[in-house]
Amino acid sequence: MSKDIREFTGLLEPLYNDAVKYSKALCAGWSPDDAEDVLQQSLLLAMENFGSLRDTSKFRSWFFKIITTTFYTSIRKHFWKKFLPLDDNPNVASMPEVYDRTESNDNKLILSKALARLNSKERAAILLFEIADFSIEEIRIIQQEKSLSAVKSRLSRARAKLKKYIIQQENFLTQNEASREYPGDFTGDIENETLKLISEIRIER
Amino acid sequence: MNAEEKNRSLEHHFKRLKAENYTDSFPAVENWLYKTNIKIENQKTERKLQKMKNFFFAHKLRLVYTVIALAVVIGACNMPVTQTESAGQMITLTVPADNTGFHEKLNSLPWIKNAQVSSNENTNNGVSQTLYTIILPNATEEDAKAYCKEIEAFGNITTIRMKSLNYDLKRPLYSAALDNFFSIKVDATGMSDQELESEVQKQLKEQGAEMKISFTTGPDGRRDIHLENPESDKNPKSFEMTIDEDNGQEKVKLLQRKADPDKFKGKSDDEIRKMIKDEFKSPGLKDSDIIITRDGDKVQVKVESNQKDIRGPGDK
Repeated sequence: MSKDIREFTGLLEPLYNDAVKYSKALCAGWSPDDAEDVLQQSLLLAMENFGSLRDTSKFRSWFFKIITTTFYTSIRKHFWKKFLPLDDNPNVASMPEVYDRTESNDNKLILSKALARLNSKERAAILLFEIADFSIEEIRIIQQEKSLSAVKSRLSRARAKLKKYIIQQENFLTQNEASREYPGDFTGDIENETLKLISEIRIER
Repeated sequence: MNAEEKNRSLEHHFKRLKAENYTDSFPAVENWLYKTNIKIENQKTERKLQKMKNFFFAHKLRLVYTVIALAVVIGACNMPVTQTESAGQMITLTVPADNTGFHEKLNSLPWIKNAQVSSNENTNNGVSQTLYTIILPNATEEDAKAYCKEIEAFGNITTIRMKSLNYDLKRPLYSAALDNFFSIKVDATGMSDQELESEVQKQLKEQGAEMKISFTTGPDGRRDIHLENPESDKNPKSFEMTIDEDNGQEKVKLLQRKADPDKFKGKSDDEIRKMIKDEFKSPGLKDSDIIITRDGDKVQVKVESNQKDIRGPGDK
């Protein structure tokens, strides 16, 4: 097994950066802790099942498939977490922190908010294509779809929705920049107020 | 903003996301993976009991919910429910004292043998009359109505009333649910027809049912079961009887179905037969087994099937 773990980490290292970014973007709208939980579960699952992977040349798509299915499962857990404390395996120590808890980049916030409005499959498809550079055929296998056209239309839908949501957010920010002389104009919507605050900070810079 | 600008905006956001770099955190994650791998390897040799202990600790809340849910189900099943059971019917009637032949007429009725009859003479507004009380155990309301009509046909009756004899019974919910279903199981190996009959009758009586059952052995050694299930509140609406013998097992199933009275309205005999065959899903059911009687608009359907499904000792 020690040989396996060395081989596993060896294969993981070149795709680690993409995997971490993919997990984070998949969990758009969730806390960094929840995004790390998805990554941790995926890493543990991959490590435990690494022995069953016959062709190591397929490690990349195999690992991203694990992340994607772990994310789908986590959506259900994320819902139940509101009502029921779900205990993690007490024998496994938590993964070291990967994501920055203090970052407040407006660009990230806009994309994250737009991604959060996509459904889970659309989100996974667009991120696999844009962040992890998978082909449509590879995405079809990862998402266990029967036809390429299903993936193509999903990507097209996701892209159209993202454009729409991003423009909405950017327009909102622009409007707030224009009306910055009236900072006391409180709308009562916490999301809008956050975006207004970001735009103000950006202008001050 | 035109389409090109929109695309540029989306690409710009993805470009920024792609530019993020987390490679610095890889050594710490790699180290954590090595440590976790050792722990997981050690856990594999852990005893089953320890695993169970961990499971209980990790899922204690879910287990508590499961236990509570089970307790609620068991509690609900044992909750006493009150059911109204019928003990029979009572007919009270008064006839003038000078109606001397009434007593003989009443005694001539065939069903009166199963009834408890009491009479006493009294005076009402200076008129002498005889009050009869007839208690009919196990009789249904329909039976009592028919009996009343028979009595009224004698004539010269002052009053006649009918009353149901009901009593409330408290029992657990599961018992109430099982009330209308029971099963009889007999090992008939080496038993004579009479012995088998008395054994089945004994079990029927134990469960409070009254049915006429007789057995006859054919020349091939097969035993035939003859069963009469008179419609009574005591008798089960459905039951199962299994008789094991050294030459196989015989199973008798009784299932009563109450059809919607308008179900057969306006249907031809052939259509009704088709409906019955579809409902029973019994390939052996013949047209002659389905007896249809019509009384004006009313359609009564009776299914008389004599099918044998005798399984050998090795059959399943």
